[in-house]
Amino acid sequence: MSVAKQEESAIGSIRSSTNSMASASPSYSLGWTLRRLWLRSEAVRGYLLLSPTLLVMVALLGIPLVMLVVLSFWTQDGIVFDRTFTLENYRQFFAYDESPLYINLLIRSVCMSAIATTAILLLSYPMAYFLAFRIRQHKLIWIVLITVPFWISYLLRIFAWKVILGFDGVINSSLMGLGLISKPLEFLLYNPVAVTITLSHAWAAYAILPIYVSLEKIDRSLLEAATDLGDSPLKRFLRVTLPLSMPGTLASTLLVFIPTVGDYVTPALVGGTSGMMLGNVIQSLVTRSDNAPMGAAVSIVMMLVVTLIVCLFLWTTGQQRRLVRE
Amino acid sequence: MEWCHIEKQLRQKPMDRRSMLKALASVGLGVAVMSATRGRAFAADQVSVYTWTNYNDPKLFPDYVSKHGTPNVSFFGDTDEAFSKLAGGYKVDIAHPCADDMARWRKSGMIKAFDDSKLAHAKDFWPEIQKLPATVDEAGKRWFVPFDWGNTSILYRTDKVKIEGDPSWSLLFTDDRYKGQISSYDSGPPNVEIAAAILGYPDIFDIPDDQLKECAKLLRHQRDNIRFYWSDQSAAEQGLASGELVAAYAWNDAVARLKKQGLPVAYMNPKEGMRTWVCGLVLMKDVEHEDLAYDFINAFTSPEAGKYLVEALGTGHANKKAFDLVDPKVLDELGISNPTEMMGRTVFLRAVPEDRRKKYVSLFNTIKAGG
Repeated sequence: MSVAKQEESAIGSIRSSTNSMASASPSYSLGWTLRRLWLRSEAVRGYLLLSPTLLVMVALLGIPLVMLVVLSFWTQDGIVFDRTFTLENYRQFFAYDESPLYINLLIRSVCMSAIATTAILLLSYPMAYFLAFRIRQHKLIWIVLITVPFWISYLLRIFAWKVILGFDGVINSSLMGLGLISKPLEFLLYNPVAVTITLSHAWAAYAILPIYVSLEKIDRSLLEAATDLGDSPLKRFLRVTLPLSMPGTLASTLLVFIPTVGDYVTPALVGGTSGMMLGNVIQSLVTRSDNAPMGAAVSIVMMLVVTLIVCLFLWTTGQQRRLVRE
Repeated sequence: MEWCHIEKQLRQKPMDRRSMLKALASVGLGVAVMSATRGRAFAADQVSVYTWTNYNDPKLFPDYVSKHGTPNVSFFGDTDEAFSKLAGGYKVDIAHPCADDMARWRKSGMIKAFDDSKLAHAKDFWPEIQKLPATVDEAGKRWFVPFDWGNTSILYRTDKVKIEGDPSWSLLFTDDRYKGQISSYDSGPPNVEIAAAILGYPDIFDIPDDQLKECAKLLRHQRDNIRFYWSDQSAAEQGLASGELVAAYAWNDAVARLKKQGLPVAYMNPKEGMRTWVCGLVLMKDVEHEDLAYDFINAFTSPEAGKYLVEALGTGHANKKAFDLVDPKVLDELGISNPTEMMGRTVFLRAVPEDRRKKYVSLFNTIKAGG
């Protein structure tokens, strides 16, 4: 508090000194006026400093989002948009009796990406833990090694999984070579399992790094204290390490869950018919069915649902942490 | 900072995180910039062609290459995708739709009519494909230059598929013997039309709602039997070659390719009829390199290009003279030695009215997604 006040008074004194300087000089050129405005208003200064980022955000995120919302209330005939306001697209989305497609796919997408996220967390946490607590030398090399798969394009990583899981792929041919199976396993590719496996691999580094950072930050003396006070290693982990690494874990959950719900390219390549997700429907609505407004409506519903899930998730974890603290 | 000698630094290990990150960032920036620097020099003065995959072979437009160099070619997987992208503002000089889709393309106002006097080979085209519906307007102006034509049918492995009774398209729909081992094209209209043909409906290009419901049953059956829908024919070819698939919807160029690999495959002659398609080139309204575009089209429709198209891709060519250059045995193998007779026998693809087409597409998409 006191620091903030001090800062404020410091800014105040600067401001008053510049004020007196400005009033002392009689010629008000344009440059001077701008400079005065710049120095006087903190808000202007703030926005100006932010302006490059702000412009990019407004141009590339804000405006397209508004356009998407507007588009979702239109309809399309051929290549012409009918601009009369209608809620028809949203009605179609939620008309379960008429066509259960959208709701079912939404549920499927959320479930698949929730499973993938859980798998990623379970796989990444031990890796991050190992990196933070067990590696003492050459930590940098390890971090680089973890990011190596990310040097390859996302598409190639998925294709690699196609090669691994495929009919004459790595898994099938090695199992057949070992004589364990006589016919290639067909359940490996073109189904939800394949999509989940691929997603779990492709997004792993996004989870490892945040968890690693929050584990790395844990004060080692807290762990010693817990041991001194008689905690077993497991108890120590549950009571000290895990709660303290929660910020990173939550961040990686969101980092993985949010983009994978709307993923399009993974299910398109390894999903077959049963592994389709909502992103594929949006793609085909916009590019093939000439129905961009419906595609926009589906995208918006998906965004809202994901936001809702994320809020719910953050709220429950917040509640739990409050309980733990009490 | 001496991180230009990064390999030494790494070995001697006193490298801090910040300099490592710097080194990584510089590599990343370098790689990112690389793609921007190459291949731009010629881009401005070449015709841009938006076509199907496999059609970027320079031997398909030899005269153009010798005169002007390599054109800019980009690809699409099906014409619906191409149409949407072009309607959305994608700019090219020439596109490659099919005749059965022309009504929609002309109505969109994206393309313009050709000047017949600039088309060097127009008089040598097969008469059957000269005046297809919607490709020529009332004034007799040509909006579409036919280029390739061929058949669509089922390509199957003779060692794995036993045909019982008359060969039929139903192999790809209701034959449960090959569940999980077949593939069809990832596009609505063909699948809906074939389902209607199996059911024996009179006009498969204009199916009323009640018949569409019956077709939907077949399409659901197909979805449950199918391994995947292909959007790139090579996926189906690889599947057939590896044994993952035993039968697939395929164009006749696939037959030629797989036979060349020595695979035991055959092309079905179903009782509902093979489907004959004709695709060709259209000139975009805001064409940037019109003269180059005509040069490209003339090269594309020349007999020499046609000979290569027939021999290498196994697809029929618009130019009659091309067929005189090809070994009759090759034509026989492809089943196109007598195109006039063949086209009288097969089902010629026609445009589906716009509102129906939309229904076909949305029905297929719904079923594909599990509906």
